Amino acid sequence: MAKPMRDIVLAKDLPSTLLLEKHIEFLSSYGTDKNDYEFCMTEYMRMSGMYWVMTALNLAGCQDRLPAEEVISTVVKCQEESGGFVASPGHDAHILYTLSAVQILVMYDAIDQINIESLVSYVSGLQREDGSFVGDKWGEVDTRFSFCAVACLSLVNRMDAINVEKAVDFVMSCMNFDGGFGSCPGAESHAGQIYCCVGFLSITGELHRVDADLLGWWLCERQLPSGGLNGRPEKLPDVCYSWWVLSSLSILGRLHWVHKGQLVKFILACQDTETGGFSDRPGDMPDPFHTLFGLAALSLLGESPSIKPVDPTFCMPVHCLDKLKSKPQRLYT
Amino acid sequence: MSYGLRFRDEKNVTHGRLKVKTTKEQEEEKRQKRAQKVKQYRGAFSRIVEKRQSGEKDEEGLQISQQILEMIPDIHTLWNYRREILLHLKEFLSEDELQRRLESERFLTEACLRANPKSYCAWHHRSWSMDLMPRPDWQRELALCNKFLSLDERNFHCWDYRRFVVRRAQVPAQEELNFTDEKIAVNFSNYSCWHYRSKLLPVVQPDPLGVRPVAEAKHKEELELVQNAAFTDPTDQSAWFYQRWLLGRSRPRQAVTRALVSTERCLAALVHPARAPVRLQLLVGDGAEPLAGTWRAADGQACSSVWVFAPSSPLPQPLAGPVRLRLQDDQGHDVDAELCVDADGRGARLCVAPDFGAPLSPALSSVMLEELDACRQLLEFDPDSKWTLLTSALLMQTIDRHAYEAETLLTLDELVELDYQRANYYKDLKSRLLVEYALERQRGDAVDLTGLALTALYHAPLLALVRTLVLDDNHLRRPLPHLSALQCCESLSLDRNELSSLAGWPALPSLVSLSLRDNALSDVGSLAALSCCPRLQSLDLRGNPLAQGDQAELRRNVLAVLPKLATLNGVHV
Repeated sequence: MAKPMRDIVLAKDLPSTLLLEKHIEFLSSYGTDKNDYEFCMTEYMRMSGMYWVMTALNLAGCQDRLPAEEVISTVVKCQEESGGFVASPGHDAHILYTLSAVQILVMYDAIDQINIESLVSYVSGLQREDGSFVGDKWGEVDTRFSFCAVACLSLVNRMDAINVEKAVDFVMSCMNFDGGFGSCPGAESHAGQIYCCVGFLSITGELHRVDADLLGWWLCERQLPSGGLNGRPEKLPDVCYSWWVLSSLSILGRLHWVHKGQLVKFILACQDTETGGFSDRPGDMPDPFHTLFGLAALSLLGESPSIKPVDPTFCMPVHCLDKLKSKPQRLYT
Repeated sequence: MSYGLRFRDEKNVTHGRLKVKTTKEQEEEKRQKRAQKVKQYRGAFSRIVEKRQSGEKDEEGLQISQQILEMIPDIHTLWNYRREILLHLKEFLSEDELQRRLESERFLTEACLRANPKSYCAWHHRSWSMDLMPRPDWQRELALCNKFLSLDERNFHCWDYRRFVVRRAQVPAQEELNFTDEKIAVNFSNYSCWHYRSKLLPVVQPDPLGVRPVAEAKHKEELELVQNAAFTDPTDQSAWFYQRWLLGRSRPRQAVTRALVSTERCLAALVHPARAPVRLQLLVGDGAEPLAGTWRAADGQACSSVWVFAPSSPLPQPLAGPVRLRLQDDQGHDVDAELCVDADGRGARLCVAPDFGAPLSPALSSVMLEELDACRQLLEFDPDSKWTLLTSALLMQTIDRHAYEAETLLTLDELVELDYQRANYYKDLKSRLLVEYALERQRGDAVDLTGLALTALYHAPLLALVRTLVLDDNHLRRPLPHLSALQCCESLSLDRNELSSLAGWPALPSLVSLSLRDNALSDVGSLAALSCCPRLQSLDLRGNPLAQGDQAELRRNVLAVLPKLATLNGVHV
């Protein structure tokens, strides 16, 4: 018998307008209480936390809410001799936090303050013979790391440092029957992983290797009756997938394949009216991660003039990417 | 990025945590507990940092890191430290001791994964330590996967770990296929399982002809299985996606579809985009060497379907002997195309009949007909089943796209109404088919695509040789950089569409006349995008918001951005 579809029902009293001021307050208070439990327990990914907060504030036009000098010096200090970045002192470098650091520094136009040569050698040193990338020397392979690598190198205009052809071949070997991509050859498609691979292909200029109609169809089928998007078939909707799915569709020139009005309604319903910030679903705890992806998705949807335009490949404000030598590729229909 | 790009679909640290109202006392109790945990974490972590700085790799390091990891399994630094210690111990432990030591890594990762089955770090550490183990028991690992998958059949981390174990233990693909049989028998709605089948079947039962994903006999059986699943619950997505893959047609071969060689212009349009430097050669005459010159992408992209050739020296006139294009495809094979030389020998061209449908073997098309029949039966019971409707449209396209032309288009119209969230997907799909039908019928210098309700423009590279293109009375509204394919187009009409901007307008070297009447253009400044069309003489903007008001002022403003224009809105300027 037919099972009920996995989805949520939006209650009537949920927020339906953008509470931007509240979000700015929510984001600005990130890390003001160093003993806060959540803050402390997420120390191991602090650099990404900072990236979410900075980017969200920048999209809201309030980058100046944080002390620029302090942010830059904190990030610069996190570069290890190897060239990679740690999430916070005492932790080990990883490609995930290296990309977050590079993104923050590009947003502050301060990339010149780090050792770019050693960054480039760190990133290119993570490429393996088959073109894939490991996250650090311990050997975990994932297409997320392929994306991080080319995003880092593209942001410092040094794509020449890796074997792009092999890197592309590896990502293509992770393509599946549904047109989507998984973390490694054989792995199931997942909207987050698809964002990484489509973003990767847009940076490397190889988007034609995607079956854009097939993948676009799979992606627009992520929209549920509630208007929200899930990350895989038969899963619940979540604000962060508004970003992973929408940015992929946007790169493929098929953003209009989802129902904009309903998605906007779902995203707005995930705002916390008390504290500000967005949560994954209405009524859950808000956090900087979902706040960034909620705001970034609203930016792509173009329905909120108070949010600055976001680049779907890099998830950074478009105006921060002026110095990029080669712009990421886009498809059109 | 997502948890530094960690993807989770449901519950974890910051996903699915319900915000609950609590009393003051509860809050205070929670606060104290948390403060305690923070203290504990900080003490332990700083001890680890100290130990690492002084190069200590010992049991104590393992113990302390374990305490924190049981609380927060995603701290990669702590797993790294454990690995450093384990590699160090490996140097002087006996094989039995090392085995025991690594068994405890198994227990630790299992405990972490029970609490947090989606911890990337814990899964990775498990595979790392299993690879270091002197006597790994892969069967036990397979059993662990079975256990975890029975708790959550969609845990992609566990599926990935399973595939790792299967590789190490060299489990035959057939056995894994049997495993998916069992899982699907329990629950059809298991996308992860269908996905796995799509990887296993082509290995177990490859199609010797290479036209289907699997051998013909198995293909038929698989279609029956998936149809059964789809019909059991027509709202479940998993089976429909899988079925679409089974029914899919193979990717057409790379080839040159359009080509022109003349003193004025040399170009080639390809079935699939090719990367610069494109491996294309122009050969004129018997046994001739390729002409010297450079190929550039019509759209200026690194990867393109339309390439323009600039010969280093003038073309031989008249063209003597056969004119050929040689294209090297991705596999390094040469694909030759011979152009048809004009009677006067001044030019040559190629216009291949487009192949929008791949041929099917008769056996397969009978299976498809049965499928279509089954869909129709299902639609009698449930006329609003969108998946059944879409599948029937795709089946009709695959079986006989001409016989089912009208019915396919009607089905897509129904889907627009029925599944309004994805209305634009169906409209674009219909636009694609309409352009395909039109291009099969019109192959001259002029193509008329008026009034087709097009929302998207597919197959632009097939229009590379067209001199007059009419796209009036459609619903085009997004930027049209893909019109860059229209390298030979002299007259283009886009009257009564919904264009509000010309952002991304491409360089069209031949364009003389452009009509944009009755669109939604409101900004005269945006017309500057047309300045990359060097021959543009006539522009018609009547009926756009920007053309309302004082005509003399409009003319001044337009000429300020497009000074070479001779005719505006039908009036000589």
